[in-house]
Amino acid sequence: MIDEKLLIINDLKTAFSTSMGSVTVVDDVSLYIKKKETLALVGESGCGKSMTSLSIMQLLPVNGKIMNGEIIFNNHNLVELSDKEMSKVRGNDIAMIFQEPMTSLNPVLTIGDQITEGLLLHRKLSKKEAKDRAVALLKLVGFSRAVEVMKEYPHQLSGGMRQRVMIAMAMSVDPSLLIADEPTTALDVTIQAQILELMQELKEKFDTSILLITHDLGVVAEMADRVVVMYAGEVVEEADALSLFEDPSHPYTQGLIKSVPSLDVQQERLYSIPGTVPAPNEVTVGCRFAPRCAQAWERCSKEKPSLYQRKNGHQVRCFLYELGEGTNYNESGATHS
Amino acid sequence: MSQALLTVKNLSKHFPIKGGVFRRTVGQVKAVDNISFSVNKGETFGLVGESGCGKSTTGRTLIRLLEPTAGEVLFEGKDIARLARKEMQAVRRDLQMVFQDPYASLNPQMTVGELIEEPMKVHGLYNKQERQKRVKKMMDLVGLNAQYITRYPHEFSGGQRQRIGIARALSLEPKLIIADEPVSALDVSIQSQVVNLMDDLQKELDLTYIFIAHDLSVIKHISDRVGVMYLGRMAEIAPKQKIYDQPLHPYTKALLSAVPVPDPKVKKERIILSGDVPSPSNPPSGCAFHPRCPKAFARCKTERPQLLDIGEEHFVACHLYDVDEG
Repeated sequence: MIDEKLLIINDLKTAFSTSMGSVTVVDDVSLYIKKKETLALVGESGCGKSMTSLSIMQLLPVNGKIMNGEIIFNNHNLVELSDKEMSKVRGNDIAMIFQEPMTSLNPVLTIGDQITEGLLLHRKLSKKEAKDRAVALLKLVGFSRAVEVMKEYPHQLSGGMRQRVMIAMAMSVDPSLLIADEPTTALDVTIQAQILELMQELKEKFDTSILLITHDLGVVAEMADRVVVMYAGEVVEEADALSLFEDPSHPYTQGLIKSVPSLDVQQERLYSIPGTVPAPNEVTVGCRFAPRCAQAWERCSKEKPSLYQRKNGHQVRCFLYELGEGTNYNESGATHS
Repeated sequence: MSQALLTVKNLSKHFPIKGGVFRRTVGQVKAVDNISFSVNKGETFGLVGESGCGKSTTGRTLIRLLEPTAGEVLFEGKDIARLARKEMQAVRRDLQMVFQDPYASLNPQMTVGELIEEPMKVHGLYNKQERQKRVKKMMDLVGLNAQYITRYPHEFSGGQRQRIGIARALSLEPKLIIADEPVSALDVSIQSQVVNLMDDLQKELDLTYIFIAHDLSVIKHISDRVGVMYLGRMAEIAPKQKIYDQPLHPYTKALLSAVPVPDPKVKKERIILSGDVPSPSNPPSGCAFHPRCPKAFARCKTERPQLLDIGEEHFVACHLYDVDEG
């Protein structure tokens, strides 16, 4: 097994300058993606998962800024690259697809124009070569009438077809990393199944690594090799997909998994996490999840937990795991003080 | 069998397509095309389907936010599809709606107190003092702190706004609530709070729900009976257990198989449907599902299947289950 790391993020901190001062949306996030791996970045709205991916691409909104940390990709620290060098990385190595393909496609250009644009710009192909390649790409993502689609406009296509076009554009540069930000959230389940299958196929065919950003745990279970769970700007848990679902450790991850209504088992009542996510400008001293956590004790609201190691790279930001494997305050009956 | 509170018979809602210089009607979008179902008192009827299947249009047509093109809507035995505006206004007190987007459906310039009071004012109910008392009672009922009565919607999170929407609907003591995707804009941890709240309110206030959603797991959790819609038509209606354990319609089967399960060890046999949902302005001949159906045969292309009674409250619109076919 090749364990080579393609992308390494160390202590990334991203903040927004707002009328209320600087607001940190990504707080000391560290993670890595191995070659040929799908890493899922999971969390609810406002947890910082999308801002982490936009930091990698350096496509943050104008008032957003990387304050600290490094993003190592192919031995380069992306944070230090010039705009021109970064544009090269975006055109050749890292591609991104978004949730709503309609807002990412130009409504007044044909599909053909939009796919060939990148090829002409980054690949220096002739017009004829670019066109042939574009048709081949559309066929690759499942368009049987690829030649006709080249001449059509985005509004003539359905949501699922538009997402296929976005994937074709992303794959046109042979990226080693594909960042997919909620790629199927706007799609119906039967179309979602088609797109997920397509992404799996392409990944295997081209050995692409995928950073999948999603809130849907079903999609995570289906696609991910490893999972990073974020809450309020921080990584709270990291594990391989099997361990995460079999042995979720952070009380937030446990709550999240339990909150999903099951298709197989009829529950009398849905599990729900009380309270709401803290606002990004809310200053917290201790664990950010403590106010909603059923297992929190005094220390949790005073002191910030670090990421504690469990087995096989499983990491959890929770004092319950501070003493390592085999400690469980609940079962051992240790007092919470 | 329990008593039907609402019976829908052959309901259709068509939207004209205008074109040409004289804006003549050149076609029809058959958003809802001849559907029938009934909702029993005290139950939750789940209406599920993908975008454009007509589930939301059905909800809006029932409550006459959209005028039905044809068909009957019997509420407590009275056909409300044909009532005059004024009479409908009175009936609407019994039929309330909760909308998907709690950001768009609340007037940002009104306080929570005013928002919850508004429906009572419109219907001329109670005096001012009583209304204030009821507003507080409603806030308490849906789990909103009564101290927030003078706050504005933007000060609340999505889940809390949805509670405001529910409090508004409840303030008139309705018999039936039509909830159109009430939890789909919410995060999972908040979604379960709102679903549990709706469950509790139903028991406490003896409410009947029509719950419209695209999320099959949420529908399974909350419904007693489920109707599956495809392209403006009803594909299958059955008690919840039947729909999920023994789905009959090929579309229901594909839909259920497409839902990703949050367990990496489960590898589902997936029926991947080819193609997209066709346009309701130009639906396929015969069965609307036949171009994507893995089981389609000759008859499906020519003849529209009727909703067949399979027994035990299970209805399916598919020629596969037509006994004449052998």
